[in-house]
Amino acid sequence: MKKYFLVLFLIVASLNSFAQSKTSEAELIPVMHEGRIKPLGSFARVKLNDYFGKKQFGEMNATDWLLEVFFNPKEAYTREIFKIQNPDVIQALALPSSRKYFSFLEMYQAFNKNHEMMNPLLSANESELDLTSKQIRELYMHFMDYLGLSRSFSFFSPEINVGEKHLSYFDLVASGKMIPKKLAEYMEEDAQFKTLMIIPPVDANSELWTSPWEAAIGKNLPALKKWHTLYQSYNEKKSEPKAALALQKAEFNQKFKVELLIKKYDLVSWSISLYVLGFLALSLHFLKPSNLPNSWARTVSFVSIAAGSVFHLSFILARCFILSRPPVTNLYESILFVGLTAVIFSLIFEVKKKNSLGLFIASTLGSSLLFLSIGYQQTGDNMGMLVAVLDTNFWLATHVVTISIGYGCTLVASMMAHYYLFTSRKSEASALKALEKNIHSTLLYSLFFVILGTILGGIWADQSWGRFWGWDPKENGALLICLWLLWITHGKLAGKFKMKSFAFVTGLSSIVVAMAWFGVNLLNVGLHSYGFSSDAARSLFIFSGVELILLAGLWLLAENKLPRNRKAV
Amino acid sequence: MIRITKKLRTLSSLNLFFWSTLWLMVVLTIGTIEQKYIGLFESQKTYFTSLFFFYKGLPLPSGGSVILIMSLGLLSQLIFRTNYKSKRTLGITITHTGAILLLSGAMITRFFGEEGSVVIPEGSIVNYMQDYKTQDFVLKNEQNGQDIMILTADTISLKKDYLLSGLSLKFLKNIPNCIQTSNPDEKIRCIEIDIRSEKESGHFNISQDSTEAQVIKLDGKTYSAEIRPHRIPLPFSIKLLDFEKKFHQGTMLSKSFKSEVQVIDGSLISRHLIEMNSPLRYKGYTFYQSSFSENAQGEITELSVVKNAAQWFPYLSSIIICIGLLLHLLINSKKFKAHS
Repeated sequence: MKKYFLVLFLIVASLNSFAQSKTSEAELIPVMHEGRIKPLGSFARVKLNDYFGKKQFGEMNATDWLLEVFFNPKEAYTREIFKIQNPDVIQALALPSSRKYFSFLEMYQAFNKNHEMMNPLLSANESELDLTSKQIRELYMHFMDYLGLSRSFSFFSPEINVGEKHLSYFDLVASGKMIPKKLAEYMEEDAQFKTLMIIPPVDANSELWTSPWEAAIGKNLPALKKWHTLYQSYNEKKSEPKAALALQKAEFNQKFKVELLIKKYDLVSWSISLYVLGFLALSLHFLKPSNLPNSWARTVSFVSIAAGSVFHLSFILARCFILSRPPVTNLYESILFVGLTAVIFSLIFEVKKKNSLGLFIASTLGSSLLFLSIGYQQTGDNMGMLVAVLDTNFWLATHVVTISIGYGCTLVASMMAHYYLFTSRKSEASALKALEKNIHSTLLYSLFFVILGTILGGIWADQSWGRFWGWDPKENGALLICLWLLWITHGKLAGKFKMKSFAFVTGLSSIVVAMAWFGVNLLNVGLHSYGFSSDAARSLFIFSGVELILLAGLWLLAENKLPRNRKAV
Repeated sequence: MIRITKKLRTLSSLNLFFWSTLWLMVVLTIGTIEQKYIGLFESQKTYFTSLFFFYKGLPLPSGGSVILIMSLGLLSQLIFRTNYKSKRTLGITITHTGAILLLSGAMITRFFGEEGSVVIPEGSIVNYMQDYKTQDFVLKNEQNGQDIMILTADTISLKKDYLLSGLSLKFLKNIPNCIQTSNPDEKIRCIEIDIRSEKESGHFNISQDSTEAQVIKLDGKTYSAEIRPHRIPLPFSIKLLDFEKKFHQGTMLSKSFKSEVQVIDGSLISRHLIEMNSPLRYKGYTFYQSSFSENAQGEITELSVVKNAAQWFPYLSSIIICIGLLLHLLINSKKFKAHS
């Protein structure tokens, strides 16, 4: 026991160094973006990532960068912020080919020079364009988006000459002066940009956030005065905490702090690293000739996998807390959750059996599923809103969570079956018998969760669309897993599957799960389709092929009967 | 008698279940993939709800018959092969009972359920539901607004002369899918008619996708002809008071759809709000918010309507199945422990 604590302590101590985080006050200002109220820090990261491809601009963090775009655009316009990876795009826009990053001013000139090329390109249909044209168009969208951001607070800049004095649009509004019509029209052109919805709704009945310019035209002075203070302190190079503090909304701060924390410290990467570490340590344990049931390597493996699962769990919980919804609402989250289920199930198994098999399964499934999840991240900040049909916490929490647990358990059973085939030549008969029983009971758990989840899904459909069953691809996928598991369990009962053929079909469950989970999305029909690319189809095909070959190989290597001299007890 | 019993007994064999499940998985996979090509509805009919489908002229059992055989097998298993006193198999017996209940519910729904949709523009009253699977050909007298003829499109005969008060109607063509849209489920019917009155005659093409009925003028009288979804009367009327849709700000993602309706049942009038995931239940009918559309006059809501006597079957059977499976897991884990 002491050993476990010692290793845990070491991990916690090493993490402590990065846990001392500080969020600046400006990062916590709320902004409405893609349907969600989020901290300015998150918004800045999304935008910076859109243009620059990174979440940090040199020494500047995303929020500092964004504040400069807001309040000191002249400086910001010279920074090389637009990333162009494709040399054809650089050539088409006649930009210097020696660089990859270009400033706003350079882009402005490039688009101006090539405006004849731009017009047909902007009005064309997406499907008619080649890759370069698509990228140029996307770049232009980003350019306009950036321009919008930089003009968000242009009413603060003293661009109007009144006698000797330079006044801003805001000065005129704030002092209650009439603004000459022509000037107003000219200035208010900036109001067309809807990039930054940062002014909260004025009355309690409205949910609509507005842009700063809309607030200026609507004479929402209280909100603008706070921003003006921030603007002044920024340009006088004072530190701005107090001014930014006034713009925060206390009710969001807790969620925002958690959100910024998980954005800053990439919990998923930590979790993957710990699972991989666990796997490596376990390999050391297996390599040891004496093969003691307990060794230092195994302890390290156990603790790092457990720590990985804590990070994994915290990441999922943090997302639930931030978005106020159950853990699984889309494909990405389902991968995270199924991974966690598999890890926790295997760890429980390990605690009970102490034969290192649970560690092997936890580390392999945990790391590979988390790795897979990275490929399925959504665009933007990866925290999109839900369409109306899905926006029901009760059914998301019951049906989706249950079926995902079912997927996780089935994957664990499949991994156990792989292991069975792999070790059937070397193991004792009694160990094989026990393993077979373990596989069988894992299958029963899977069956329970998959059937419960499928029926709950039917009930949800009954509640929402009036039919329990509609042969929708996703429903059929769930039914396929149910039938598959029923087929294996009943087939075993009927004596169809003995020893290695039982392990073989159980091993195949991973393919069935992959088909039901990802495959049905390829069809793009029905209520559940999330939209999918042909890349995904290829990887699914490759996965199934590799898995089939692997299992077939293992099956050929495995022995079909218990060796006589090592009879079951 | 004994022979029949014996035959019924064989239905309960695990072998039969094993092979039917395998076949059902094959059919399920084919049918699901086919949905992409022939559409949800067509594939459902061919592979899942019918008894047989044909592959290169060869009749093969489809979902309907396999599930029927499996249900009979399960029933026979429960009658002949279950030891109701055994504690060890108690969980499984309960699970099997739940499964039979679920399957019989499906059967009842299949044969006695009614489904359709109600499409109501804001401010209008509707007292029927539409069945999209069947279409009617409707000939209307525009003078008095009365329907002269309502004919289910599939039953139209091309040989017959249809004689109506002063009119003679002959169908020349009746094509169920003359226009194919990108959605394989959407098939547009076209009908070609020859219509004669005492003095005049006319030749018309009527297709389902035209938004307005075809106007026919004969002998100074005006008629109209159209193809529309079959209508099933409801025992009450529904008025749409207001439809409201919301989107997540700055996105095209729907946030909520709401229909505020008034149910008019004789002298009884009540107000209800129908939302996504929150339907209206009234006299055995359930109304769900399924879609909406807009035209120049305003918003139009689309509600799905279902009447299903077996609606509570899945609820009950799922509880029974889960209790059974949990019990089985518990009993088994104790057994394992006792062994070790």
